[in-house]
Amino acid sequence: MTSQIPLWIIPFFPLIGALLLGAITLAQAKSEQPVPEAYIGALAVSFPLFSFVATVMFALGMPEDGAYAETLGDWISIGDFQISFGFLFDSLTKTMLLFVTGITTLIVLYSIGYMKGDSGYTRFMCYMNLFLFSMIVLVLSDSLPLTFLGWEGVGLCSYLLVGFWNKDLLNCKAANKALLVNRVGDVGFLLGMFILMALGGTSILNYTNLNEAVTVSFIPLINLSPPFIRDLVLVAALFLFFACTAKSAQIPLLTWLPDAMAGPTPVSALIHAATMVTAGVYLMARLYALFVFDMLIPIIVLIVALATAFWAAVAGLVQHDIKKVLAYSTISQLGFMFLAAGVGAFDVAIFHVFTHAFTKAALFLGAGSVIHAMGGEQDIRKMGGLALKLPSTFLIMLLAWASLIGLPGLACFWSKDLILESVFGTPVYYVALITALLTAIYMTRLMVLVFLGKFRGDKHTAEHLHESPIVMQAPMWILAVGCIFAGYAPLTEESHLNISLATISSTAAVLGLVFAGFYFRKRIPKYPGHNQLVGFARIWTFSFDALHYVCGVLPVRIAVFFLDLVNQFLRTTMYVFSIVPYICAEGLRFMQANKLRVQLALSVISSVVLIYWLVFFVR
Amino acid sequence: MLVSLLLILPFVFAFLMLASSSKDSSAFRMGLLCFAIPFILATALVAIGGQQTDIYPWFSILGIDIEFSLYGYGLSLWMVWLTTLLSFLAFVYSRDSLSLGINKFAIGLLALEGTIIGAFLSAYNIVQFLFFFEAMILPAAILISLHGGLKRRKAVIIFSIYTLAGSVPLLFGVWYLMVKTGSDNINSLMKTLEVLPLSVQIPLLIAFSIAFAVKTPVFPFHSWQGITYSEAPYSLSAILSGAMAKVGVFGFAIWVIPLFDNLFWNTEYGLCLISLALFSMLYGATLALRQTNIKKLLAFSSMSHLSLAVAGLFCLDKTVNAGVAVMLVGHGLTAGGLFFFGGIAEKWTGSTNIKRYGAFASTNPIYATIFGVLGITAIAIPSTVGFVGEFLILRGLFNSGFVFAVVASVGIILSAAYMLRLIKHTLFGPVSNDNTRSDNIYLSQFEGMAAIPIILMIFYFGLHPAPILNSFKEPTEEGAIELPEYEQILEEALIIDSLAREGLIEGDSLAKDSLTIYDLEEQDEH
Repeated sequence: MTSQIPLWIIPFFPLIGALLLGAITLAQAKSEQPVPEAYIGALAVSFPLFSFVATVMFALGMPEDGAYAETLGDWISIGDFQISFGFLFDSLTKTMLLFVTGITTLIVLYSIGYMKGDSGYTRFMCYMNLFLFSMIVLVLSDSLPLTFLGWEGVGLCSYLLVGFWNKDLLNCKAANKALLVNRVGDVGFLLGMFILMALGGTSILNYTNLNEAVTVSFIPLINLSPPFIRDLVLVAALFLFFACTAKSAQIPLLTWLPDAMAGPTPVSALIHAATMVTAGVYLMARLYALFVFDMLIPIIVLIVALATAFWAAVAGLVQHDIKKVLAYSTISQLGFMFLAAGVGAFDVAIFHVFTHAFTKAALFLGAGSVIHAMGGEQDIRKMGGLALKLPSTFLIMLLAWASLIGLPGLACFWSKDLILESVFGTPVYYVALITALLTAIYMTRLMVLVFLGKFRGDKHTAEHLHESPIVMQAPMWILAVGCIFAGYAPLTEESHLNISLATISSTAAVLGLVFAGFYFRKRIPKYPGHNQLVGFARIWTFSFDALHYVCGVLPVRIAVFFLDLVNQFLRTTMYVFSIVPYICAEGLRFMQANKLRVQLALSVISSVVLIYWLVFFVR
Repeated sequence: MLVSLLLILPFVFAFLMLASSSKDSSAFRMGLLCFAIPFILATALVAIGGQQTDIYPWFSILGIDIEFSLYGYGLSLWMVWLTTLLSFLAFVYSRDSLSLGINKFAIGLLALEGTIIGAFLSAYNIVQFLFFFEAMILPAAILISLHGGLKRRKAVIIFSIYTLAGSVPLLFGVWYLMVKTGSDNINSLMKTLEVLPLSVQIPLLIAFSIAFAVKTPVFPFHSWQGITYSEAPYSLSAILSGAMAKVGVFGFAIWVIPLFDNLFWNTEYGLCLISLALFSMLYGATLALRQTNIKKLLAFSSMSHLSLAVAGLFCLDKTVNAGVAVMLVGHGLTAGGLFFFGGIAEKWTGSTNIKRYGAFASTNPIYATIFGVLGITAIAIPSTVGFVGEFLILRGLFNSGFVFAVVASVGIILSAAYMLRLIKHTLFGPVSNDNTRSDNIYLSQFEGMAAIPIILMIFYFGLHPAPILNSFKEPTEEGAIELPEYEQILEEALIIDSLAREGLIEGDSLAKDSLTIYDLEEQDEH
């Protein structure tokens, strides 16, 4: 039955939603009577929902190990350069699309409550739909160029949503940073594509062809010596990996994600935790053949992933902004996903993407609920004792917390355990285990500081503490249920569990939580009195910002300075040259006859001379 | 005869506009019609896929027969279409902002449109091209001196002297070539150049390149641009950067590359020109980063983008040529649109300084949306027309040399940096009295409506560039200029080679040339 429905219907819904909501935004810009928020909200949530339903129908109708493919038409087509709009729906796409459309629906529903009363309500919903469209194109595409369209599209939506409250220029700065850092990564994407195209034409950009070409052989493709091809493929893979590090906030391009928390909390939950940032992992899983092509790539991926996971976990320990803790946690968990991808366990990586999406979305939405209750306050030093005031939020976040630190039986436990198992026997395992321990510590710290102890905020805030409305709670509860059961989804081939390894990692988690529980009950960081959310922590954890400054911004500044000098020089030269005709003109002005009589006389004389010459000398 | 009409009508309309008075409200309506008709004709020309006239004798000098013909295929076709569209829009957007009377502006603009169209349609006879190439400076200069800013006198002098002086070497080059050839059409000139020694070809190449580099502009011949664009009224700057500057790129594509084809294949001069163009791209992008005057920022941005297009041309690849055409159309739409909307921002705030703009996203969302779309097209986000062009060009540059692609990528990152900076300063920030001097921040009906075709075209060509690409795909008709293609030469060489081996023909000079290329190719393979 599903064969009757075309695949493009899945991205089509949110696209229509985005266009419609965009039109409404513009139409009501000047009108006195805006469309009621309830209608907008219902409209905004229905398109992702349709998309989700369509995905479910495809997923149910999909045969075992089968795939749907569909080509809509040509995009860029000239000579041997052929790029088309093609979609591919296989098991990887199925997993990604199910949770992407599902979680987006839930988060848009949550936003109806969270964004209530905001002047940009409709615009926000428009961007959310546009984001979903781009994300679907990213995962549904069957070739690299079309994925790039989605890749840039989600980056653009991230830019728009991080800078959503654009009256504050700091938000715009964060948005610009997010887009620019991603742009740097995109260059890697482009160059990777060009190398592959040089090897096998545009047809190789198709995923099926690419994986086949890499695994079967590159030799028939072009008449060059094999080692040379090997190097080229290697470089292409590294470039594409570079693009992944930008999108998934890995070393060296990780600095944009903590800043991106400037956006509204549902955005952080959806884009910067559950979906967009996992695009890098998705791309690696999609190009699996390319990333196991040579031993060098897994080594680089492993080093990057491990360093990022550990580094971000340490950074998470010292943050005071509730969203920044979660942001660093996301970076750290993405490191775990890359770890799995690095050793070639792509299904495990995607499994962790899946479980982490539920968990982190629930955590972020819970944080949003807390921020909502606190009237916009994000500093955890001002919170405390919220467990009784916000019982529902507390329970949800407790579940998600338990899942994230890997308590047995919950979602992330299964996936994280498989990741640890896949790297067991190497030194990587021990660092990963310590990182898991750190995860338990910083997450418990967050929970303790927010929910336990005494309330440390001001009186005014305490009086207004309230539980979120049902439209926000319902999606959170669904995600919380996901935190329990998502781990049982049959996404990996290995279903067995190594009991001893599981015990070790669970012990680490419990150790971490017990330590943090006792330690942070006593030692609550003092609120310094001024609103310094980033502070010290940012400086030493993110020497990467400094690194970017030295490697990127500073050279450009120097270039600007010197090229400006060149420009001044060229301008001066131009003036010097253009002064020459002036001087000549001044000099020749004495020949100008100013009196009419003289002019007339000169004309007559010259005419006579001319005629004389014409008559007597020209034949 | 669409092409002839396209050339003649703007001048005819310019005369008609003399009859209208600036006080008459019908002048605007009449002007609209005068600009709409060429655009409709150009669209029709695009729809039928191009057209050309026969070759007529024009005049004869020193025994050289100068011919006249109009050619409207491929790049010419799309550039003409773009010129008519931009002229139409420029007229619409200058409705409220010109003090001296809309009819005078329309006359100048029509004359400028006609000369630019003339240059784009002259892809066969070089004297005719030169005629229009020089002629377009006149209406542009008059328009600046009539409607320009405070320093317009200086701007006009610099603009006219610089661009005229820039084409002097070209004039001498063409003169020399014509005397050598005895004809002015491109095919004869190509044959002459093939037999000329390298020591003559290189000065000629430099002479040709300087003229077009000034027009585009490419570093280091860009000094006229900043002051000219910033003193010209916005709608004229849009034409200057969106249409007139492209005559420079067009010159590279239609004259420099076919004429010096042999030189580029056998020596490294093409690579040198790519390097220069890429440096120019980085230079423009870097300097755009520090401009606070929106017109100067857009001028440097235009320089950066067009330099990339020139670099793409010297990849000598037909696919890339099509990419250049897409990029030029895209750049025309965005640069033109950004100039138009920059003009509206100045109208609202009374300033050209982007630091004094701000919060238009809050005060006028429609303006912000249009400006934002234009901005992301300049950044070349996929699904906009900017991406298609850049993608094809970058890929061509990659095939010419890995380093070129990397350098161009740096330029792309920089272009995102300055564009985001412009967007941030213009659209975002707190609403204050500072950045909203006039209370009525609204787009007039015309201003809003005229942006619709720009936005539609941006996404249409971004998702479906086939109309542009196809006009490069089809085999050109008889008599049309065919850009010599590498494979074709190779094929011919192979045939001649086999015939020569069988002793059927004597290898003439042309075949020898082809054979040397063939030999080179063989050496590459081993």
